[in-house]
Amino acid sequence: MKIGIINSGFSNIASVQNALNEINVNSELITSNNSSYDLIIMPGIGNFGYAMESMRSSFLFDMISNYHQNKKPIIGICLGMQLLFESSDESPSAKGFGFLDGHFEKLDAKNEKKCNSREPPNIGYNNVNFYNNAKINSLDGLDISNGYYYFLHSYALNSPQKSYQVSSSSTFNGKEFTPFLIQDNICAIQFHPERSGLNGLNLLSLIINHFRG
Amino acid sequence: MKNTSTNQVTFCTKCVISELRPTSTIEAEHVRGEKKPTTVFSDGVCDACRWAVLKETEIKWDKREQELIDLCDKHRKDNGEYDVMVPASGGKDSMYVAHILKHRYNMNPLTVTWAPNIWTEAGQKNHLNLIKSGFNNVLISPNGKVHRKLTRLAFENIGHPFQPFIFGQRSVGPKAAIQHNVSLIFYGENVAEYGNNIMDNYNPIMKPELYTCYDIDNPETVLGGVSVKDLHEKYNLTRSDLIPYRSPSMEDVTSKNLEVHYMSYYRKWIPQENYYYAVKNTHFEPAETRTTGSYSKYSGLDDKLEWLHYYMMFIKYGMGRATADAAQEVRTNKITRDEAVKLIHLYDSEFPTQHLPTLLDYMDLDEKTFFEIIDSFRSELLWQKDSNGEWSLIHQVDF
Amino acid sequence: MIQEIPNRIIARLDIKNEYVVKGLMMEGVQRVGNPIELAQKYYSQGADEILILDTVASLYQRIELPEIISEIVKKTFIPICAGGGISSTEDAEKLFFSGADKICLNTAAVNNPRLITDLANKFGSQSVVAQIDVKNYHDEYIIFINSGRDITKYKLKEWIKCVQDYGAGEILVTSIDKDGMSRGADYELLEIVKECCNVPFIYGGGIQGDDEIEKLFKKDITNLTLASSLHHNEVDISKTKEILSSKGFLIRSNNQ
Repeated sequence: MKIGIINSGFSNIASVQNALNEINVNSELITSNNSSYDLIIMPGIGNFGYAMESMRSSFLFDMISNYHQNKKPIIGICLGMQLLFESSDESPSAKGFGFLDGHFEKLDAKNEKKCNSREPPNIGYNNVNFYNNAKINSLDGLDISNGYYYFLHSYALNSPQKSYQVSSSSTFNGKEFTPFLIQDNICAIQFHPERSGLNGLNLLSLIINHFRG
Repeated sequence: MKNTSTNQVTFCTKCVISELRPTSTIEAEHVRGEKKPTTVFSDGVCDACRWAVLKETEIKWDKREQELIDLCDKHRKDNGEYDVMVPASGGKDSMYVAHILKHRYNMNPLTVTWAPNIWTEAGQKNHLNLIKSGFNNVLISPNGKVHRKLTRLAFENIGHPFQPFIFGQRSVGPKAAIQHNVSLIFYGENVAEYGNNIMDNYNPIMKPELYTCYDIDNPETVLGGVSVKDLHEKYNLTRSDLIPYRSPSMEDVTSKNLEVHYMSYYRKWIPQENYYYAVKNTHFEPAETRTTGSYSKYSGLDDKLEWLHYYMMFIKYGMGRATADAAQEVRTNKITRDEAVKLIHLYDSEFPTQHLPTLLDYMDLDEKTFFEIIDSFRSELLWQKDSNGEWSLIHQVDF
Repeated sequence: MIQEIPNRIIARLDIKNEYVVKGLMMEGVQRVGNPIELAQKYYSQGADEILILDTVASLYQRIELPEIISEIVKKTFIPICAGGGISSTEDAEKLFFSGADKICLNTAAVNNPRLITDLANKFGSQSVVAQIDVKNYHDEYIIFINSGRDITKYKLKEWIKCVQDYGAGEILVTSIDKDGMSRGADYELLEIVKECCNVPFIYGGGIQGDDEIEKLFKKDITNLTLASSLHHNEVDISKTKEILSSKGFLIRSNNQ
């Protein structure tokens, strides 16, 4: 399976590549418009608005749009996840790819009156529960993936639509958000599987095998 | 000996000292302007570095430790009386020496401290820590007025304010040993570790000449660059004033079978390892901040005057405290030569103005005279005045 | 509200040239081992993060960690926080590009607190850690810079407030007095830090073993760095986590 990783200029590509190497999956950096990949990965850190602007002014926007039109698998990580949706509180006037409906909201501020309340951003390991709603066979092992993953973000998908084929939940200051989902060819991951120890590597393995099959 | 016919100064290619570094002199004869012998260099490498290599590759430390064990067996007293004298300030080295003699070699040490000129806070704390760590201690403090006078004279006449302290420290061990009926004395390291005659590293024993030479009844003996005769006649010091500086005589030494040994002969001497040992096994504490003029916090903590001593080394030979600390750490592989050079550039020339009032007061000098004295010792080879009238060092170690 | 996120045990590597080193009371540089091997070892033991600090970067004014970091991240898949000598956004960028997830700064922040803000603006405050080395100096907790060598005029409380105001996302507090000694943490210091820290903080210095980690967790000191106790094999993170987990502490378990 030929896997390409988008170099959007403000993320650490090497981490994702290293993680893929660790699970014996080859990958390449995408440097120009190329429709030969079987799966593309979009990692990213940074600002929603700037990222979309940058995408639109490069070959990446059309390339990624084409991939989605052809139903080829796309994995978005962290900011990469957000870009797949419509919009984010972070940059109110900016439009994401819109492959899926949804809006990213700013995480709630710390509530001084509640103990254990946290100030955003959401940094650190958080518990994630996965739901294989569509009972996809190739994602049979998903429930054992429940556990801690590493997060580093200030905005989250607030649509507890368990109608996704695969959805998930995590909480920030007690409020639920969706840190992971799979719908058709899209896999959106809020946390950093490449930074989440063995759990993260196993999850990546599972997803790639799912899209391979 | 340095060839003064050229204006070049050669630096060791392995560590950071220059060929200007003096080796020890007989302090009791030390007068102004005397040409001291300097550290020997061979093929660009100083003797201290050559010795550092031999320490790692040639010396059979097991064998030397056996000699130490035999020596201790010979001197050990089974009746609870002191059997070894350890001159100790409470610094990391003396803590190390006292501790291993007591706990590893089953001796019963008495520690003896020759008081620093001007106690630092860290020094006082560590002196108490020495006692707290489980050692008996005798503290000998010379008459403050006399000591200050001698220190000032030494500063003025030979640019070596530390000399009166050294006088006392060299002989305090043997003298205390005689008083307490002990014949074995252990100092820390042989100065050959730092560039004196390399062959001295093969001898565990301090030459008696070094600690029997301070004969205060000999009018020719020189202290502070001044003869004893002149100390009496011109500076009103009495015989009684000089007694704390008097060394044992050669007859005392031979009749009491005194032996002064260096621990650095028996145990591979690595100052930073002594630091680690002292921290882990005794109550030794490093300084709270780095010493001005260097980067380290574990060495030379006791005496505010020591800063001036190192500063005069910087003035006379272009090498200050940072050089001394760094050279030793390069040789023991704690830092690289490049790192040492960086540290020296950063810290060697530092002048700790915070100690100046104390020093002026101690030596009863005004600031103008103080700096005039310092300037009088600047080597022409090393110093020149720049366009602002500021002194600048011509030769300093580089990469 | 229940505790949402697990406590963190962070492995600290002080790097000098190509070695991991360890001092005592922030003095001395005993060599401990190879950075890549040790990072790998502590990752497999179950460390939650790795903290990598270059002890001579300031001196040389050179950022040299990128090479080591890019090697480390090939085989370790947990967050990396890197620091030592960072004095500009360019320095930080080099570390991020090589694989660091967070950067930390100490001396440069004291000399120019605005740098914290600049870094937070460019990379996000969650990626900027204010490293604070503190010593009990004449009965007051005072901030030190240059690897514990030079004293500053800042007292602990005011400096914590300052770095928070300038935008640090996390604070790393290390006790100089307790550093490397494995004789226990500075509890008095911790009382002060707990009281005035609004952002998450991490404590390091003198942590002795499993019992002490438990004691600290019980006091709500939930993020710890270990160095000496790891290097001297006094603590094995996998065993520690097993014990702590069985005692009911929220902790990321070893096989994750």
